[in-house]
Amino acid sequence: MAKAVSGHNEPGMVKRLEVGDIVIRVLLALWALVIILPLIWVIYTSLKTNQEFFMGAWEMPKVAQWGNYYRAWAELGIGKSFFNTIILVTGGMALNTFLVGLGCYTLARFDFKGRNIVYWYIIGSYFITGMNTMVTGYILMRQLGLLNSIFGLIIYYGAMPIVFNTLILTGFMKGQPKELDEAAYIDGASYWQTFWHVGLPLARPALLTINVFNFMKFYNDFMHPLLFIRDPEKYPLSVAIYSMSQAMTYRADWVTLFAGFVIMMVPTILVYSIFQNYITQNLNIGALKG
Amino acid sequence: MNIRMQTKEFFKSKTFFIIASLTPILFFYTLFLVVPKITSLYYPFTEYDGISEPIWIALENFRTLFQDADLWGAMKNNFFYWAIATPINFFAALIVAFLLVKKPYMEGKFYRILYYFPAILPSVITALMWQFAFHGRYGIFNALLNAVGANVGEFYWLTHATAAKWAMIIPMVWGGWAGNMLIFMGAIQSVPMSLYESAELDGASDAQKLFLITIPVIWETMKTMIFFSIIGLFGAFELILIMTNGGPAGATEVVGTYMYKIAFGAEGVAAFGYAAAIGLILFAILGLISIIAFRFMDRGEAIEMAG
Repeated sequence: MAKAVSGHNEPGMVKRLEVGDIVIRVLLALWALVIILPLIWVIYTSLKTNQEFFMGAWEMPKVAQWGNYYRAWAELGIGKSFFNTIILVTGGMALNTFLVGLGCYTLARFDFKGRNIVYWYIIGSYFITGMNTMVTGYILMRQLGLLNSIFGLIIYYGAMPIVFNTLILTGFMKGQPKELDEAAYIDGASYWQTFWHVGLPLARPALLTINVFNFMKFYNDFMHPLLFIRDPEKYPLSVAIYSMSQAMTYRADWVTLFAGFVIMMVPTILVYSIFQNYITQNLNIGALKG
Repeated sequence: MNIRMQTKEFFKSKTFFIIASLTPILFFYTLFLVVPKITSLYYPFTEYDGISEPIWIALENFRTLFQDADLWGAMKNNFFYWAIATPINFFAALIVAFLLVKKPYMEGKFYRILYYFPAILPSVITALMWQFAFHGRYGIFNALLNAVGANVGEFYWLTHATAAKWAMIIPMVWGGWAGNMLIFMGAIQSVPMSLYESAELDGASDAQKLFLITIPVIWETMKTMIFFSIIGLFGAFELILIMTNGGPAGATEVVGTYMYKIAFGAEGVAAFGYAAAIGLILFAILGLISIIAFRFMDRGEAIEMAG
């Protein structure tokens, strides 16, 4: 593009721009390397023996030690935490989808007194930091008897992304034609049936989007399980890996820990490669607040 | 019509549907997201260990707080990280987004996906990976420095106070900038092509296009991003909690890790009231900065429009 435009300039100009392009492309490639290299290092380290680990970062595994993965999964307890995480994430997604699916449908499709008040009551806290509620949130969970329980954390996850998801879903549902609802009413469907058979199916793309984000929020969440869950048996992956890494100071079985890192990255990589478009296109408001 | 009929009618009515569909979300939202914000206005004025009843002590916590040198040191570190990492995350994202949108490099699409990958990695993985990367002997960071000829020997980055403080910026940027990049890309794509075309006819350079067209047009988006970066000023302490836990000797302590230690630390005394007081001060500081920033940015915009 730049070349075409500067075509009427003197020839030296064209060459300078090309040099600029090369520099830019080299820099972009270097940054790609900065991202890939630590990840690759984690992967080949997870296949080393501990002796090879101590020989330095560039030392490659002579024989790939797949046993590290078995040990991480079975002996280190990654398997158990993986299971806990699956329950947590699916439970949180189901509860949250129920809450925002039903609520946003009404907010988007019905005109009633107080609708804007309800909407802004929810959206308003988008602009308030949640940081200062670390302690009071914990106290609340304790008073509700929801501490140290996977069920309790699922309940909390159901609520956690309500604000952002309400923003996305209400916006989406407002854009759908109301005629379809009305047609359903004429056919004798109740409000509930219409919601279930018309409203929800139409919102499928937006529901998928919010749940891709829900997945990442719940799967990556470290702070809440750290605060809310005491019993190592109930740890999800994030806290489990953290506490294993703490314990490794005494066990020094680093390669098994690295295998644990890779296991935890696999679902992230899978979800990212499948839903990459959903994630990168819908980020505009979402990424602003974690 | 008898009562039973009326009740039955009511359950089928629109009013009932509206109430019944909004009750669950409002209940969960209020209980878990609003109540903690309201009680965060109460606990700061109490002494509360989480076991016995909270005792009202009025401003006592705040009196302690203003003399707490560790707290203000931690806050200074928050500002340090914010002042260094935020501009990097912001301008690197802006420039790369501009290049990826405007330059038709064949590898551009791939970079967009790859660059964003660290942002969706679990923070615990990012943190532990970098913790090991900074290891003096087995870490890849020193190995890389070696490879490019900067031999620092067996230097342990995270156990040296000054080095640890600066080293933490690397994982913050590594995982932190790409969200901005995607937002900038979305904003830049929405800038009308005709603006660039007429600028090209006038012989504008890429840098001129960026500063004279792109930035003014996406200014609103940038303002929102600045606002949210302010909100995040005291957030994102997970990396520090995991990698250094505020150490060595408080060199990387931020308010989040400090507050966490006071409320849940191993010291045995859970000073919830005091920790909540810190939370309230953070809230006040953020509110103040946001207001000032917005005043300032609005004026900046007015100047830009006039000029």
